[in-house]
Amino acid sequence: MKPLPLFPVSTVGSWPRPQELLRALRRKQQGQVTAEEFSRIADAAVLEALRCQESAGIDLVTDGEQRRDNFYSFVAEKLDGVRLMSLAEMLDVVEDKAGFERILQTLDVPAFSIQNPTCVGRISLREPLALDEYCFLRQHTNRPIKVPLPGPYLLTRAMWVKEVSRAVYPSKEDLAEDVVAVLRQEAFALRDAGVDFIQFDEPVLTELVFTQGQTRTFMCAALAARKDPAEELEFAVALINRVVAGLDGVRTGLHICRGNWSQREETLLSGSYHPLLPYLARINVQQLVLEYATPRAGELLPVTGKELGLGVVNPRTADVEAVEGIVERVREALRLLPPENIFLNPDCGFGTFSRRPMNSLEIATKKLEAMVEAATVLRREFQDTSTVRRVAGALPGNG
Amino acid sequence: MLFFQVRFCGLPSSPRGMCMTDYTWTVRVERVGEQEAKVFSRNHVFVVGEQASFRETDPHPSAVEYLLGALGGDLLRGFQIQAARQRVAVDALEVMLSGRLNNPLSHLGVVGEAGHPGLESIQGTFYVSADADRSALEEMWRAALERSPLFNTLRRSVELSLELRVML
Repeated sequence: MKPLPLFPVSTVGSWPRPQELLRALRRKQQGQVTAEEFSRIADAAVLEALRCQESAGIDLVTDGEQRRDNFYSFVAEKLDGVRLMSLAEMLDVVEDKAGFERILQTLDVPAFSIQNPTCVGRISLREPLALDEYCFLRQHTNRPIKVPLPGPYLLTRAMWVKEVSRAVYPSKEDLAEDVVAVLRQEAFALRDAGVDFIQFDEPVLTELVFTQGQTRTFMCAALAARKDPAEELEFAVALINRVVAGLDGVRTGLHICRGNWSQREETLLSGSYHPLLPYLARINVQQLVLEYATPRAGELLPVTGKELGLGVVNPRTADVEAVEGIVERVREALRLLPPENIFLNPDCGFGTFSRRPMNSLEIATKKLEAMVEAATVLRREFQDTSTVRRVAGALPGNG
Repeated sequence: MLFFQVRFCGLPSSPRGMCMTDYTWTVRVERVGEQEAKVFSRNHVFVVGEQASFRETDPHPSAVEYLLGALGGDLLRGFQIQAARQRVAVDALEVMLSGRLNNPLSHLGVVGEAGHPGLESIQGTFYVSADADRSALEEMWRAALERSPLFNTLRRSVELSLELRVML
């Protein structure tokens, strides 16, 4: 792994996509563009996303998830046994249509705009999930690279749609076995290729604790009905730990947020991470990438023995956070954690869903610059601390 | 899904349910159970459940839902016609409509309740994904609204608030 400075600045993953890429994504889904033509357009978009990050001074870069329709649906193109279904298609097959309608209203999106990877057969890796994305980015930057992957609990709950999946996997727990195998295969391939940071996205963990009393609320797209929240959280912890078991030599992280589908903050979930803490403590990743830039996240909580990817800017607002405010937020975190355990990042991606970017390119870039400026202020303040650190071997293992 | 289409075929004998001379449409509605009614409309038959349902599930859509669905179908079809005229390829269209009664308790017959059981407002979002500029899509949307029979009926009696949202 490449060394990082103190208070490294990163993103959670996605970046607003240019219009040409959005058109190409649409045409690709309709089979109207060749893979080569799509790659040509996507390559250019990735390079532009990289240029924005490098110009802003981001320490740990991503490819902006430019090739992905959203942060987890892209697996449908890479896995056998999975079909991309729009929520409009799924409305035809799911029994609980009223529940789905509530989901769509919460999301504030049309059913045609969100694609869900749906399990329709036995799943296996047809091609790498993200290794090609990493290899392309590696050719164009010397900076450390973060690769986001959908977490095993998210994928299991999203892909297992009872009406079409049960013929192959009688329960979502059955499907989870193969999801773990696929993600392990990918994570080890990424590690072997030299990826610096693998981030697993598990936004649905907050859905478990912040929507009690509702039988089915949405975080991502289609979600298989859940059991008791405590039972589900134990299930999630076990799945994540199985994916990262023995995955040494690469930094691993877990991103958990409360939704990133709307600029209407009131439609997003709200609540402290407190109910999740006992479970997060047992998850064997080095870093928790958490949103802390809005009051919805509640108070900062200690994450003993782990790094914190501290959300310091809201990806959904037009106002760019003041540098002083970001510095102050980090100072609050410093009461709980040593400086070397704090990374700076936005609360979530700027383009989680391709067709629903949360901000313009200009505002997103300014937010990155604000984080970098804050990190510069903090580094000056803590300059007596080692400036180069976090190399392979200095990290706790993955259990 | 409901499609509301009326064809003026120009034949001497008018099809059942439509009078060719003064452009009126007729449906016949029969009681078929305690809680449902069957509608015969030209060559179509569909079933209406409650007037307004307050339950999670029902065997059939309520009259209020048919009204909202009819408005949605009208708007979608109207937009599609405008798009075809402009030779714009539409990838996807979808409309979400929510209707709110002035006072549901009046509908339920609660004594002493003020207000009325009619629709107070209809709010909605019309989503379009198409290979066209936003200004062109807005123009099509305006034309679709101008020519919509149901929109122009309802807007005279209900607070109608519709938003066009262009999806990339």
